[in-house]
Amino acid sequence: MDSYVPTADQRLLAGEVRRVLTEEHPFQSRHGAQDDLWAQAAELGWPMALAPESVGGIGGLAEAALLAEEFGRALRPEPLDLIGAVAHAALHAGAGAPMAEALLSAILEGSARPALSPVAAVEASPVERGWRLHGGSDLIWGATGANEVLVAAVSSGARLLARVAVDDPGVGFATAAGFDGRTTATLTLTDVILPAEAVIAEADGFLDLARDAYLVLGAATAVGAMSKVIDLSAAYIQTRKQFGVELASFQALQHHLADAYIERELARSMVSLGVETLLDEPDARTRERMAAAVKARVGEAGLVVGAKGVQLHGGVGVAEEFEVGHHYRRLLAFELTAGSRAAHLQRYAELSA
Amino acid sequence: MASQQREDEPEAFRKALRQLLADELPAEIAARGLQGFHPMRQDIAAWQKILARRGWGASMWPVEFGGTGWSIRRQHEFEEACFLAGAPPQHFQSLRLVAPVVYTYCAPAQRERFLPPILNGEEFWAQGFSEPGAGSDLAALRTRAVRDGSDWVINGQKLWTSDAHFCDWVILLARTNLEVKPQRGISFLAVRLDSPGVTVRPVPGIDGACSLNEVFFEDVRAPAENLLGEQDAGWGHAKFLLGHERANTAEIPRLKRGVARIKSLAARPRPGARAPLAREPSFAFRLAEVEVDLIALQSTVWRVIDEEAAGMPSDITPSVMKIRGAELLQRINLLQVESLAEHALPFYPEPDDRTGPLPGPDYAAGAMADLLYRRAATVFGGSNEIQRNLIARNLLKG
Repeated sequence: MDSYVPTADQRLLAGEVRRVLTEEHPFQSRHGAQDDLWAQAAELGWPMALAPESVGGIGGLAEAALLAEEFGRALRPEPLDLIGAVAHAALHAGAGAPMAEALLSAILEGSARPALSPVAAVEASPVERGWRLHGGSDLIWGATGANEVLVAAVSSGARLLARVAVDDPGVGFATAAGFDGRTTATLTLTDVILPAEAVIAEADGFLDLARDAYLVLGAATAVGAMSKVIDLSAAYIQTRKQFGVELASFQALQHHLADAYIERELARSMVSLGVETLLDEPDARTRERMAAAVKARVGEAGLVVGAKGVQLHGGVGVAEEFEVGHHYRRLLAFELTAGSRAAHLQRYAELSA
Repeated sequence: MASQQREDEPEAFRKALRQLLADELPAEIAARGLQGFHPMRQDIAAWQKILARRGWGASMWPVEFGGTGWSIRRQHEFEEACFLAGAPPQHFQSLRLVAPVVYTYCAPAQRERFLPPILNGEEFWAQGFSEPGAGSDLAALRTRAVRDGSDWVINGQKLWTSDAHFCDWVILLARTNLEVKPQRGISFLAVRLDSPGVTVRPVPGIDGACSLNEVFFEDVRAPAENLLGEQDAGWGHAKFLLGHERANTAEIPRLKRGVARIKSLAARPRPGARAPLAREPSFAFRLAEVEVDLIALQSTVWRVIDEEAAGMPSDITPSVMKIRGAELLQRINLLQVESLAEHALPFYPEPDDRTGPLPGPDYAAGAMADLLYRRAATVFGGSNEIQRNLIARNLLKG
């Protein structure tokens, strides 16, 4: 990305995604279980925006960030941020690895919905022409709607990455409803045998890139949610009257709204910086440091904006029927996922030393 | 194209800039600059003359008036490198407030009269906007200018006038028409501060310095040609100016220099403590918070520059930067004095008020004075509350 301003093509893409999401998947239509639009997204070619033309896509990380923002704004449960992060890692760390190349094209055509098990809690041992995996993890990123899992595993101290389908023999993928309308999952692998081409044997680079990109694209999703909270809150306080006047006439409430806007503006800049860093910065340590800064700043911003949105809505802010409380839960979930603000500030300080 | 060619060589530019700072920035000026006291006129003037000789005296002006034609990013890089090296900041009111009014709104004769002495560090200007009853609310100002023959006759009082004690001129907002709405009927006048009837009285600050002043005008006469811009149109000119002021008040170089100073201070051994403050996890954590917030602000500045270049300027992002920049500066200043602990307590007089030796270690000089003075950062240039009002008004108009 040469600039912090989206190009005309990028704005066109984001505008089309927003149009489809608002017209065909409005908030009101969802009660209880949410719809899933990944099949429609694939028909519309959206996953192709997650990678550049050189590998058959039409975009890249900057486009992924714009889409993630729209998904966040529309409260979508599909983990575009995680899928986009995996595509980024497969593109940049998977050259020559058959697993990564197959994965990337399956993502772009919309057939692969990978979740990621990022902590190497699974044991891998070599077998003839492949690997045996055994173990499990209850820390899964992007579980909602996943049809496969990328599993970080450890063999003789080295990290590798295995690709398993959720319905493969020996694979358990137990899902549960999350508090924010998405899905959590627990993975168990019982002596799963995989061919060598389903595994990246030296996966440190892939896992680091996927993590950094997930932090930045998750932040983009949060920026979308924050923007929607601000729009909803501005509209609400101009509608609701108390003491015979619009709530918007009270300066204390105006300043809550202004503070939310300030947080969102800085968060949006951090996403642009994060995208630029991941695309242009050759040093892995610097990339990790900046991704940590992005997550720390945007995580906090999300909590502030979400809480202010609920406050500005008064009583209905805590009612299930109103959209703002759903965004608050998403923003809270973002803060808790992939390292909280405290963890990332600590990481930032360590990597600065 | 020549200008693009110049822009495409950042390394050559950086080398020339480093060279200038190494060869021409006098060491004693740099040392004073790094302490954080109010810069003295002689230091500002000396550095301005050096820059003007190099052709870099007014990088933010249009080329035809002496600007450099640099991109905005390069201007920022230049300013930051100079500031981090300890150079006194170029005089804000003269170069960034008065000059834009002069080259935007004034006739060629006035441009020729006023711009070169600013560029060459020969004349300095104070900003006479605020009054006792008109701070953030400029529409309430009462200073009057009445036409008498070929002169304006000025009566009134200005307050919080930075640097008036060493300036040659004041750019005055005065009421020139009582017949119209308060926002109209205000004009800009250039008034010499040595005119008969002008009294400059320093307002001692809580930092122990006198950088702020009250300025009284009693039947002060200024010739008619000292009207700057259009008569009675000063409100619009002032809004244009304050927009300039806000766009520059993220103060990234000052924030970066502050963080660097915290790091150097917090790494010092502490009497009676087992480790330097920098090694205390809770302090390191707060410093990381500040650094990450600074990154967020810096990336917002870049984004605003790109948006302006793309013809998509935001009305309210300058307010965002002003609010956050001022708050961050105050947090940085607090971490500086926390790093000094009791060494921050002695009162260090301003460099030009010193008679004897320093009352404490030289590395502590200026830190407390800077913290105390910069409590005003959230007040001046449109208080942070006014900025929040502006943001909210913009969000609620839709």
